[in-house]
Amino acid sequence: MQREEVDRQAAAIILARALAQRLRAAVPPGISVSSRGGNVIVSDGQTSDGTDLVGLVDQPGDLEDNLTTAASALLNTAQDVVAEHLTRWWPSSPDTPPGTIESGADLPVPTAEVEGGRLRLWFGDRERPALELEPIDLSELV
Amino acid sequence: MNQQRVFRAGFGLATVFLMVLLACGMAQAASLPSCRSITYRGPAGFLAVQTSPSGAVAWGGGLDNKADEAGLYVIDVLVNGKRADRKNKPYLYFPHGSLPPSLAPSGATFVLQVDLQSDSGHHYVNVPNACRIP
Repeated sequence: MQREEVDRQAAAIILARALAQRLRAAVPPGISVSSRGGNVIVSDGQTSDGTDLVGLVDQPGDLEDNLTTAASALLNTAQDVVAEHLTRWWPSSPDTPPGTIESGADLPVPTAEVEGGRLRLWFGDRERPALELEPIDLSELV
Repeated sequence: MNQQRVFRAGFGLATVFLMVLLACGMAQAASLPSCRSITYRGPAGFLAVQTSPSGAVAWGGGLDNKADEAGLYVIDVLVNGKRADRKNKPYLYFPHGSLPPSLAPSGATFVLQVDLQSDSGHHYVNVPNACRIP
């Protein structure tokens, strides 16, 4: 018997699709999120940025670590594009009153983490996130 | 008996060799400049890396000839030799990016690998660079 090798490129492409779908539902109006292959592009119509998930998932190292790195990198890119578009931090911290200008220290940092077989995705505090995306079941990816 | 001696001697040599290698590696890591704020200049442009007080590492760059900046970029952001971010798309200008502390922890080595196929037909790659995240 041989252990079945995971197709990491395929996992990256599926992850890209799943993340794009979740981000699309979360970003403010005027921002688009699309995936082509393993590349996810976030755009405000004027400028765009992206993350190539294939290069991050299909590299040496633990697959779960690579998946969380790839997801974190994309959330970070999306946050940069949206914040530049809005000219304020995004997403807003849950403790920030509307209209308040936040400092860099208040920026809800994006995090991806595997918990109980699912990839959890959030911005800000783990217990009280500013924004949390629907988790991704790892069994969908590998 | 002889075999044991040979084995012990070989093991001893291997240990010394390993220690020398580790020492060299540590010396190299210790000699890296800080990523607090650093600019690497090359013959055709620059790369810049800055670390914010909150620990986020921001990076960017530019070409001396701005007209050459439009093109297909493949940028690998390496943290301790592993890709922590990757850009692989056309940009009109030299892109910039950042990594949160979760992807770029303090003490890690930070390297940018850039490959630009400019729309003007020129090909650019990064100058050697490496810094240690404060």
